Amino acid sequence: MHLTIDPSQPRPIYVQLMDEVRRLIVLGELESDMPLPSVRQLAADLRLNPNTIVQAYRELERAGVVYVRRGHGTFVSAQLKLPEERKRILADVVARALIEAQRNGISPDEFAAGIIEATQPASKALVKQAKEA
Amino acid sequence: MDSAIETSALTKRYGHDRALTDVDFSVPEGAVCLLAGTNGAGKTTLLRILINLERRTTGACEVLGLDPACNGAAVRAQVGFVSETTDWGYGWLRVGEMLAHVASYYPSWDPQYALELAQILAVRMDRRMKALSKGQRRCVQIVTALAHRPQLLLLDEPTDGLDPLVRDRTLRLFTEHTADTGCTAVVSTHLVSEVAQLADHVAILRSGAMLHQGPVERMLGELHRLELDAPSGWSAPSELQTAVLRQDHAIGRSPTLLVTGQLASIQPLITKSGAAIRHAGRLDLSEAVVARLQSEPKS
Repeated sequence: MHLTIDPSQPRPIYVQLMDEVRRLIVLGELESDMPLPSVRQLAADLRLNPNTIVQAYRELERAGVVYVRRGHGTFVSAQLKLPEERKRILADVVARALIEAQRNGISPDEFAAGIIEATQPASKALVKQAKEA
Repeated sequence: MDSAIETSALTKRYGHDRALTDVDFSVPEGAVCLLAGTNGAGKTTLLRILINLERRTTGACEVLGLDPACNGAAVRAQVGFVSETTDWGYGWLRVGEMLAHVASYYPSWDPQYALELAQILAVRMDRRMKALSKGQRRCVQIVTALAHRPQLLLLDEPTDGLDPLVRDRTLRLFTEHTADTGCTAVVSTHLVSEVAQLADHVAILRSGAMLHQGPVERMLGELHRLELDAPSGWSAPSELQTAVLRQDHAIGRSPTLLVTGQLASIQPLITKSGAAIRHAGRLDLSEAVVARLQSEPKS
């Protein structure tokens, strides 16, 4: 498991931490009922304020992504709605990309057209692969 | 929440020179506070007054519920201190003897933990203090600051002189100590980015006065970098002058403003002046500290 935190990013660190845990769950790195690292261990590994990690875990618990077993630690929720998590992550990625596009003077329509154009060769290749198989 | 440190109207004069003027400094229990400021702003003086290595001229001061001016020894016994200078004297002592000497001042000294720390920081017990480099003396200081598991850490440029590897290990040790003990820490450093992830509070000194203090999130929430779409020759309207910390010279026609305050009240003023906000972004902690230090002194 690898979490990346970038303190120079404008998002608060506990939000970055929450997003990273969600990303690992959607990627399948973290499965239901698997434990998250202890606050102490994660704080030491990432050189983060322990309170930041407590805050991120608490918010994840409130969102139903993880659950806490007193004295045992924090675990990935069993009834996680994966499709919903994927949708959330997609929305985040899109929002960040749109901001970057806007900074470069690209309208949302232009940006959407650009994405379709950029991904078309890839989707064609996939279709071709599927036909050959 | 109780405060681990609370000063009010703290003033320190050296003859006619004022090192600190009416400083109200407050650090809640369990916080990790970045103490930032320009050279000679009074950071070291403030930290030294907190453990009575300097006496205040006027004002009040409470550290862990005690007044350091009356209970200096009792306060120091509960504080892990890394001083800015590494010149300790005791050059003839071997490191092991030095640690044994320092240990006698701390009832809660843990000799086993001290050995572990020394090993992690590659401190050699048989070397004489005078033969150590600045970085090695700094490592001995860090061992003595942590080995009695203090409730309060006062760190004055703690990683100054350390190589990148030891620097990284030191930050890890501080983090583990914070997680294990829930201690309060004040870290004075010029390398803001180094402790940006650790600090949840920030205090900024300028010319002996407290310029800003509070939770990091609050400070970052009040500062915005605005990229504008503005007609040529645009300048910030006068109603905005108090909010603008800095206007960067425009390249082309999109000026960038650093503003402080609530975006909801700033936005209408910008729109009224004929410009539009293209993008509003947050600053990171280093940028925020620099922005605060650059702002014009309030008259």
